[in-house]
Amino acid sequence: MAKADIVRPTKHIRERVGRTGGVPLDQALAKANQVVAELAGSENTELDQFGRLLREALAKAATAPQAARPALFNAAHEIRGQAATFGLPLAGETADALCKFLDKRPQLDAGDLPFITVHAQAIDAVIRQRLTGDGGVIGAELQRLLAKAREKRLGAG
Amino acid sequence: MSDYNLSQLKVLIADDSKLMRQLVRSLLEVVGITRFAEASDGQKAWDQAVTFNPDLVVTDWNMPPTSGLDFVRRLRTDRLSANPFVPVIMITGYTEEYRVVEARDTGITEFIAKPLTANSLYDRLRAVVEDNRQFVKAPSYFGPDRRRGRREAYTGQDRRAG
Repeated sequence: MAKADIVRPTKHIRERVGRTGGVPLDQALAKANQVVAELAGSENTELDQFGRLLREALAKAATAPQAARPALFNAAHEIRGQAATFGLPLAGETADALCKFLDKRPQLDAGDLPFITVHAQAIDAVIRQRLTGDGGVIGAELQRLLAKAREKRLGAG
Repeated sequence: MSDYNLSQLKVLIADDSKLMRQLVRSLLEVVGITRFAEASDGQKAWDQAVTFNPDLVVTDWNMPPTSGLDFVRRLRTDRLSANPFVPVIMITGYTEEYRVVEARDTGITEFIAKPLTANSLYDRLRAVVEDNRQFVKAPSYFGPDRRRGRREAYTGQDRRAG
């Protein structure tokens, strides 16, 4: 077995932290939630940019699915992180599903395109229309239908 | 997070998204932190780490051209690193288990899967302040002990020395 040594850290963040005198957690959370809400309400040009990159990648995928795969994944990956953080969980969840689909399809072919397209279009619509929240009953139905389509495709693999 | 006084901390925030950097910074300002450095990719983050010598690093994973993982690896092992023991909180859109394991094996201290919330950030902040783990130095790894809370329980022949 390879040798591993235990090392005691010579520096610790605790040395720079006072045990008392900070902001109480309940106060911090109240203020923090306000901060998040303000940022979520601001104009999110980055999210629009990722939406544009996703559309461009989708257009490229129409003729060269495999060549477009990295761009598709990167755009969807950025969206899944940002959208949910800034109040668009439906776009975040759909982008997460698209990333996981792409993760399971290292070699894309034309048969994957319809599945990628419906995910990308759904994400794009949510971002463009700023559909906040989870979409309620319609959002749940959309996710159910997308999941069913993915399972069918991945099953056919 | 109790009411720890965090006002003396210096925090480096690395993320290719300006909005995410702004969010993390704002959330940390709420708990009294005032000293920040920011970077938009792994290389710039490394440069900042050397000169700013942060007490805490909050980093994204996917930030081309140099990833957060490459940055963390360098923080832990490069001889120019100002503090190889610095706690690292990684915030990322990657949620797959193998990715979490990969991040852990690079030497991060805490992991947050986006969406980022105030609760999750403050929870990990408390965790790094209260973290009592030792570091492990092995041929392919240097970082916090990955066997959280299990060291005392294991007494078998593969138990590490020390």
